[in-house]
Amino acid sequence: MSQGLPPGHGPAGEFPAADNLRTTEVDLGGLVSVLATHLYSTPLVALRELVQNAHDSHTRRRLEDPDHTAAQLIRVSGDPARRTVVIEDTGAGLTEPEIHAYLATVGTGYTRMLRELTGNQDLIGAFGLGFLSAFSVADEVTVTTTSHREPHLGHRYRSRGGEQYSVEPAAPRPVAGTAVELRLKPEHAHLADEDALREVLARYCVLLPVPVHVGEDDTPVNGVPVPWRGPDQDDTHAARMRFAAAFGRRFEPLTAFPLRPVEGRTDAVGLLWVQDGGTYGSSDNRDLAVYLRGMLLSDDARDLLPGWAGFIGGVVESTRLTPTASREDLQRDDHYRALQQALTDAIVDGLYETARLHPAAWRRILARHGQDLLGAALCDDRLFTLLADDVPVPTSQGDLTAGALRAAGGGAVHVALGSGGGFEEMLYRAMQVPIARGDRYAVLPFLRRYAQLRECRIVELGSESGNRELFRDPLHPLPAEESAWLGAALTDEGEQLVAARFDPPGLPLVLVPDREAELKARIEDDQADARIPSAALRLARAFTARTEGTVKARLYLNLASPAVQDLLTAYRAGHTGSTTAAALLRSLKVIMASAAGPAAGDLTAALAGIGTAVSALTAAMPEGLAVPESLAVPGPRPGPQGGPADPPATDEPPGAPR
Amino acid sequence: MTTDIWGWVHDTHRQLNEAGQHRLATALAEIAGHAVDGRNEQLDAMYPEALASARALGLPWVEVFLRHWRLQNLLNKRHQGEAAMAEAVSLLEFAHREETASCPQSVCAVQDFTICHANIDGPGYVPERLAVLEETLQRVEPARACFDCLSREYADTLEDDGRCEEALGHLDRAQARIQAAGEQVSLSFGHSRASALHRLGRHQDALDAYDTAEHAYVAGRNRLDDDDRRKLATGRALNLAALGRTGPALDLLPPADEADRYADIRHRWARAVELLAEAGALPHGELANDADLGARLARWTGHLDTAGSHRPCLDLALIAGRLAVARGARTVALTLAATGERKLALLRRTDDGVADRLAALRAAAEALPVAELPVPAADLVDWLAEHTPAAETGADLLAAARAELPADAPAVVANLAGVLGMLGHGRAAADLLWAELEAGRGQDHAAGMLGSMLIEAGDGDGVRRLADRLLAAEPADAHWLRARWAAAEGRWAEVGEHCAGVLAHEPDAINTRRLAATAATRTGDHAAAQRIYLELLEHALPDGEAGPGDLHRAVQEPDLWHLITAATANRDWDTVRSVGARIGIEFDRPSGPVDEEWQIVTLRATRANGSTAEFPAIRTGPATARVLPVLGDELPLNHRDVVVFGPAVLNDPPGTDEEKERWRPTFELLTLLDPAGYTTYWLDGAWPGDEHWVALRTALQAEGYGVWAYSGDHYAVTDPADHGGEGDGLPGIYAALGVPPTASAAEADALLLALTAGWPHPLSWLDLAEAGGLDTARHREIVERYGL
Repeated sequence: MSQGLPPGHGPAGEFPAADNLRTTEVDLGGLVSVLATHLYSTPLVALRELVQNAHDSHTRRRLEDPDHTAAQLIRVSGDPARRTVVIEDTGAGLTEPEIHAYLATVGTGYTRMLRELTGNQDLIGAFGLGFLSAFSVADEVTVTTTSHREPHLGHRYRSRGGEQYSVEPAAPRPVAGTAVELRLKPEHAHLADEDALREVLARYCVLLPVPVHVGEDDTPVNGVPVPWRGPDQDDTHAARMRFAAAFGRRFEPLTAFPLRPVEGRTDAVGLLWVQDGGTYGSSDNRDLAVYLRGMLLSDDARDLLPGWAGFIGGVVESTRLTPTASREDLQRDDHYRALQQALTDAIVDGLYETARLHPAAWRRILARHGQDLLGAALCDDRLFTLLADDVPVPTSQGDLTAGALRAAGGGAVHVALGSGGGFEEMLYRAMQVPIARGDRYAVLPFLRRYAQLRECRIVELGSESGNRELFRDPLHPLPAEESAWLGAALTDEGEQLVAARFDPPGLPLVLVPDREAELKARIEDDQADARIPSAALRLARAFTARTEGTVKARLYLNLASPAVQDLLTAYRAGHTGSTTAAALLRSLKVIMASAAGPAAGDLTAALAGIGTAVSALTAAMPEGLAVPESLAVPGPRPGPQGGPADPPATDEPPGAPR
Repeated sequence: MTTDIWGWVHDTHRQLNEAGQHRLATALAEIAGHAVDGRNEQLDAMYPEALASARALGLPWVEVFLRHWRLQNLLNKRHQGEAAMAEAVSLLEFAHREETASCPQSVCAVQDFTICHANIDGPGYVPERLAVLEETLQRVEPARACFDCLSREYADTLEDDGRCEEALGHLDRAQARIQAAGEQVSLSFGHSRASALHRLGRHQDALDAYDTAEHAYVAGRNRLDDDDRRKLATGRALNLAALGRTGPALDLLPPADEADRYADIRHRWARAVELLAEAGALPHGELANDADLGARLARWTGHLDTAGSHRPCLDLALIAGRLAVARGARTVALTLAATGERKLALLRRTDDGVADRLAALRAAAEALPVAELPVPAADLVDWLAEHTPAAETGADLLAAARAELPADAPAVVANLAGVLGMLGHGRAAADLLWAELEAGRGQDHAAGMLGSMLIEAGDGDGVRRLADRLLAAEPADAHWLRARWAAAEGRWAEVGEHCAGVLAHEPDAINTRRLAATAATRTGDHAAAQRIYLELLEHALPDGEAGPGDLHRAVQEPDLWHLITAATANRDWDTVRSVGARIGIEFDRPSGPVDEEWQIVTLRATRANGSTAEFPAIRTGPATARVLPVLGDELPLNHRDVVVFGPAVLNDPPGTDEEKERWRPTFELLTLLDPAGYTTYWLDGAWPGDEHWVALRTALQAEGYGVWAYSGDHYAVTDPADHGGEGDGLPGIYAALGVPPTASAAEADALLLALTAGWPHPLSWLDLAEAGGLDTARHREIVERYGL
């Protein structure tokens, strides 16, 4: 290591001469580099370790000197100009042998020994690595300490790099305790900024019982009362909300609820909250901080929370979790899994409590996290029961609860699968019932389960079964002869006429493409040879050969539609206008199909057909061709049938009645 | 084709995020995990939206990716065969269009396509699968993950052809090439190897193969997830059972409900159970070769049947059948043999021993003794009703009776079908009844039972098929079936149409009228309901004339209650009084509207959001009640409204007399009869103490207002005196005020001001002040100060 420091540099005078140096009893050269670059993901961890040492020092003092009653204090000060950070405590302090034994020996941390001897769980440090981590951020570390057992003596430990160190006498500190001064490496200079220290330490130390002050602050950074802690424990909703609001970094809490130990399963205790903030975009905003003996162990333990709980934040402490060697993550052991389960239960319980006791907050949660809750409900039966009636579902008429959707749908829940095609889209618009957006997150499976739970019908528009729901069978089958005439008058090649009844009655017909026939056409197309490997294509064609494929689309004719009923009445009466009327419907079919997507049928011809029909209907009526009495439509409904009969049109399709 | 799929996913994920398409990005990152680990709910939640987004954004590669992983899930985790074929072919085609041809995942669509065939009939499609895989492997380099998948698929195909040694050799060569390319083989490689070894009878080698694969996987810095653990445990349990090490096998075998949830372990699980049963290791805990296990395996078989996975369905039917033989369940075993035979006919290849195994099952089942009938066959159905033996025993008895009786034994067949349905053999039960119908036997019994089973199973196609079949000869039955189906689906208008269809053919039908009247009530047509009930009274058998077989044709008390209800809704008070007298109701007055004071009841109503609310009301007649609370706008009712309720009591009366004292019957709200015209506003603030509150309530009620407190003991408001906000606040009161139609909002405001003048804390009634166009500043200030 490089020795010697420019005179006057550093608070404790010159760096000691080489013959005072002793060597740390491990191969620190390797270790410090590991610490600095690998073990800790952020240099802030070094600060955490040192504050933790300061806290342990207070605990030691209490154990060794039970009569000591003076106020406990930890103070962290930064000096950006000098690039230093000092961590001071008024705890036990160290004697010179203790310095050699515990500051400079990895793996025999006094803290650990003490915890093993006394079983005191308030002691945080575990690996004896804590102090040495200082060298991951500092070039040089100076420790000035006075042990409460030797209040008249002071010692100064100094080391650059950590591999070698010196210990010299120093003036005793005014009260027993220790001050650790870090001379930061240039790349970590920002740690000396006290605002940054406040922010970091507020999070790291929030559960530490010893007050931690930054700089000259009178208020400690960990001043917010911990709802589940302390002699004058204040575990009210208000206290929980205060804690959550102080702790949550990214989002305001909408509500907060407790995590309590589960007898025989986990000792974990803490607080969970529902975060505000839009979760569209990044739905996983799980935010869980885990504390071990009061000190932050993992800032992002989101995996402990169930995957669906993207809107939950929280703080948890437990003594049973085992940190990994890096002390930043947790081992996935039985305690970990027990805590996972306890957290899931606590979230569901908490949401139940919120719905019951804080209806306003519950409404905000539903409005804010509706989409996530839909998905969450699918993963947890209790949550589903809670949410089934309350959570809004996106529909064609805005967000509605499933119940409202059901009520508006006449007892059935309509959901559109959005699988293209387009005719459904048009049909739904015409039906004017709200249709849930089945192509949105979790909507379809949520509504399926809702329908099961509430025993109502679900109509999945766009699926084969859903479309059959739309098109009900006619009460009486259409006579073959009429069916043949309608088929000839209304269908184009590849279309099959299907007599049905559907809503709305105003819609006389709708054309539904056959997906199997579409697939068959694509697979059997010559161009497929060039694209699809031959063995696979042969096998695929074996499949599509099973589909006949002659029906490319079905034309559903609405027998409940007045237009169709009138058409049939006219046809049965031999009314010559029936041909013109049928041609109009045929044009309507093509126009609607083309609006719904690229469909078969000649749009230009269809539009021309409208003109032809209109001109036929408005042509001067020859004498003596008034409407026969029997064909007059009763009631006020106007329409072509109620008007004059048509003159013979020149371009009638074949198959018209005699 | 060297693009690494995961590299592409990574880049695309970033690009989507940068473009603000966060949800699609998330789906891209998560969908494969959901699919592979069997998180079917999460996959189903995510997939439709992701696919729609990919299409809307014009991202064909993303579409291929999403569809591939979902198809993987359908094929591997839900074991679909024919059911997934259309999608498999469609994806194959889509993944080879110009815009997708160079997508690295296109090759996976080919693999999905071959897996689909393997699910349908693995051995039957061996040459085709090998051809497709060879063609595809040529397009893929060993360093790519696809090479791993395709190589396994190739080995599995060889195994399906009985060429297990070749399969192992192929895995070895593929592994060497993958490792030479600097990659590791997947954990699934171990499964393929163990599968071939198991089939060769090398069970210890199979166990070693699992160990080797697991160690290599973990050493490669991977972590086993639940799915991995489940599959490994099942595979190991199977081979341990095969080695006769039943204890360790039982320890490892996942519980049955886990196999219920994860279809991919079912075959090995079932085979392990069969081996354990053969070794005499069952029963063990809850696991036994009993009717429950049989029903479970029958359900799984049914699932594979419906999914069009013919060969796996047959294989599972064989295991289930042999277990049934082992426990002496003759009829169940024969049913499974028949299921197997039906599937055998759908296979392309049957020379691989499967036909022999099936024949052996049938022979073993037939060799079981036929059940001895405790009574003459013709009396069996009655005997069963009385003695209710275990279902499998019942099935054997019914089958024995059926064999003894002449062909026409409709009640026996219908009961047999019913028992088979209960035991998980729904398809076999339906087939049995269809066959009866085809043979022109037992029209009534078979059609009735089949109709009920189809409705129960939600099989709309079956219902339609049966109804069409019945239409010509038994039009009334056809309409009745459709009416019941529509009722099960809640399509009440159609129920009415089909009931009318029944009545056109059978003018005296009684149950049809009951259903038709229910439908009329459900559609709010109380006039029709009343008319139908009156017709029912006309056509019913006179009192005392109904025999035990046609009790339903006599008038029953509920009919009269329903008639009273409909007449009440129609304000036909004379009918209410006359029918009421028939069931012993004594009215205070002889004529005019019924408005009496009976007792407090609970009404159940549906809120605007579809959930139900219950609230108290005073019953004022047989079917009417006056609402007590002041209600919010989520219910279309309010204070003092008179409503009609349905006659059915929705809650059970308690057992003890003491509880009965406190018990209140609950009825379903039917319709609003006489609105009282109250408008609801809300009072909010600090609790004034009992004395003030009672005084306020009494004074308001004297003026014709209604008050109803909603807040409970937990409700607290901010204490303005507590400046630090540290305290728990003051107890609060949140209550609804019902303003009568005779009072204006301004009058209500003035009355409240006067009545609360001396209170320690003011109340807020902001919405009332707003409605009256009055000064709202006072109320806003209260809301602010008390944190309302």
